[in-house]
Amino acid sequence: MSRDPFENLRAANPLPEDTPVHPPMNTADRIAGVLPRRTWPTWALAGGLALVVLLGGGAWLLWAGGGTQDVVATSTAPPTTSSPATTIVPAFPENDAVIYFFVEDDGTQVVPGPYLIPVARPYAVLSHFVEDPVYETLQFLLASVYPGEAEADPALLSQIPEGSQLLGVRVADGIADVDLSVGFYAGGDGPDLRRRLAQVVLTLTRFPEITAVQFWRGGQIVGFDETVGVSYPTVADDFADFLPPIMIESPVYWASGGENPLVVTGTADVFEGTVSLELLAEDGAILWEGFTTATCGTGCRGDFSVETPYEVPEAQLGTLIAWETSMEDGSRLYQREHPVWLNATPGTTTTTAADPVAALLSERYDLDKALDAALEELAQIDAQLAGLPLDQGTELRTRAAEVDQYIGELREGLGRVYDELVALGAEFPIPCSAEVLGSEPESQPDLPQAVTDLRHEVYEAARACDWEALPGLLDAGTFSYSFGEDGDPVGSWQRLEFLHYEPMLYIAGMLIRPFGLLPDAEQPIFAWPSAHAYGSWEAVPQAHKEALRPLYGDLDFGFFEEFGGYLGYRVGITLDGDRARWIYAITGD
Amino acid sequence: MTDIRRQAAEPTPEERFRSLFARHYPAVFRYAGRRLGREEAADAAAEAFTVAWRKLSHVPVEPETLPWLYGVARRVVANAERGRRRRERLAARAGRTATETSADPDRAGVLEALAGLSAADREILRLAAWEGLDPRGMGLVLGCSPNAAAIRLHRARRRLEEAMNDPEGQP
Repeated sequence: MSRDPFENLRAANPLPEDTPVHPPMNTADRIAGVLPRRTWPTWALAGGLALVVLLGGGAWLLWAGGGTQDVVATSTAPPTTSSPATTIVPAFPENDAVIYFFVEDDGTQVVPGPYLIPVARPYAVLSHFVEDPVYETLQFLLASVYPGEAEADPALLSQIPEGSQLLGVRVADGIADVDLSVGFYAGGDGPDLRRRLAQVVLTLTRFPEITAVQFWRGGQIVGFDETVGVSYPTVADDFADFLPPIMIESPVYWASGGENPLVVTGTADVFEGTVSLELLAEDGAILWEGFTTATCGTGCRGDFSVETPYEVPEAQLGTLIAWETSMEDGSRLYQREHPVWLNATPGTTTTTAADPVAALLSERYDLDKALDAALEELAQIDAQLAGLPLDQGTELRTRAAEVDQYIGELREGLGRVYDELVALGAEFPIPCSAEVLGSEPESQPDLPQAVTDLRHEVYEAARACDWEALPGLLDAGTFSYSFGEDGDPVGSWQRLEFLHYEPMLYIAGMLIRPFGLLPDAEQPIFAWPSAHAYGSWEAVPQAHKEALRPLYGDLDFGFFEEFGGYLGYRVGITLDGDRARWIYAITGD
Repeated sequence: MTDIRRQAAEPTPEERFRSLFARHYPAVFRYAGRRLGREEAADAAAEAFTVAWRKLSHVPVEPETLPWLYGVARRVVANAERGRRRRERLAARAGRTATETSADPDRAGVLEALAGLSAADREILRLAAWEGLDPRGMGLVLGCSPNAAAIRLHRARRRLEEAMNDPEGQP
């Protein structure tokens, strides 16, 4: 080694200062102009995550260029996804992408399907900018339904074969040339293929600049025989039979626009063109109800549009319902239900932000910072108080009590934030206090082999905050994790980590300290730290007390002395024959 | 008519943020890239700046802006690293191991020694060696006093040296 290790470290800088870094175009605008103001409901975040997982290994992420709506089509060349011929500023479009899936029936089993319905996909879930909304929208369509949508009622279905790939798309003179892989066209009979085409054509003709679609297969123009029953090039009207009697075109299924009043548009073929609607809040309360009349009815399809103003105190997922009222008995026919995102109405609330998850995460950030600072201050005060007789340091002790109370309040706030995030089903990071520990606990040769093995496994899982592994290690039937509590120890530890109580640091930290054998137990119980196995604090050897540092300090030792025994964190493993069982990790007292 | 002078005197939050972004994006990208690799750096940097946008009123003025951003990026990187460790554990369970080799033995040795230190030691060493921060800057990132940062760095350097001299760590 020729140099100071620190100099070697400098030289090993993976990205030296002179490494060129080019900020991605418009990232600042996207952050400042769009993302914080978007009102993504939790399903959108979850859906986005699911999409990333779904497509993580997909070839489409390899896409580098993207087509363009401005490229002029040539007569013979297939559409291409090579670099755009015109300059397009990449950005995230304000509106969601809209794609068309099928539902099996009208939700009331009265009218057999399948029917097409428009479904929203937020562009913001993408990890790259959107150069070409047409291209990205088709990719959303080929990615099929999200997990959960196929199980919803009514279930969303895609007829497009899995693995179908978009080879190219371009738009010119109102016609979209779409080149799809052979897999898109393979298998199925005429009606099957027709449904696939319907999804693509309805999706694309929603773009105002597209009126018809020309299909290509691997670079060759595709013509369809009579069994498919579509025109050339293919237009939306070819699939009129896939439209439900009441078709809500906007807001689309899962829409995240949150406009107020909500403008509901669509088409209907119902008696006298009369469409009844209601808008429900998340709790089912009716926010708006009324009816509108389509431009045509009773045997022809007409357009309708109606504004539905609403007031809600906080952002939430509501439901838009449209139906035809039966002239015979007043029952609801052809009912359609769409989940829609409703924004908080200004004036009805003073504190709730439009995006509850973002607001909670922002609050968490503030509380985290304040708690870190308060804990640091308390640690400094404790260090100053260490060794001082009780009749000295009154001011410091008063300050410590104040800070301690403040810490309690901050944790209370964090607990509320945690509970609300969990209730919203949000994805959020949980800190891992034990990651500062080393990867291997020192061996404790006096332990039986089975106990040694389990100790190592628990240590590693706790050190890494491996929330998936921990449940499998504890003895579910008898495990105790806090006085008087039962239920989900791992969930409890996650919450405690979130509140900076650092349970994983303590659990792993105990296991690297001396152990003791609990007296008077029916089966041997190996306890960490050893102090827990002694009848009194006084009986704990000084070396074993010192081993508790730095997790516990002089003040804690004073409490243990006053109490008469160790009452801190402890971990226990019992030996049942040849089998070791992890039976407790008390962290709550 | 647009009053350009007035706009210049009173930047909007969006203008402030764009300026902040333009000044510090490369440094934040490098910070994240040094810890996560270039592939994940863009996402981490974007996330850090998203936090900065949301907390714009909390962003300190220069020269404390960049250390503050490093502090934000540190949390983002920690979360990303946690996820990565999980993935690596899964890969390890599946019988795969990630190996990283370097042609430079000094570089390989010091990186190996660094990897064996605690997360706190690793971070303060990297802040000093790679980001080139002084104790004041390190203190801002880590939320401690400059003195405490200097002491932590001193101890971490000592531990790095010990790790390098550990016969187990020698090639």
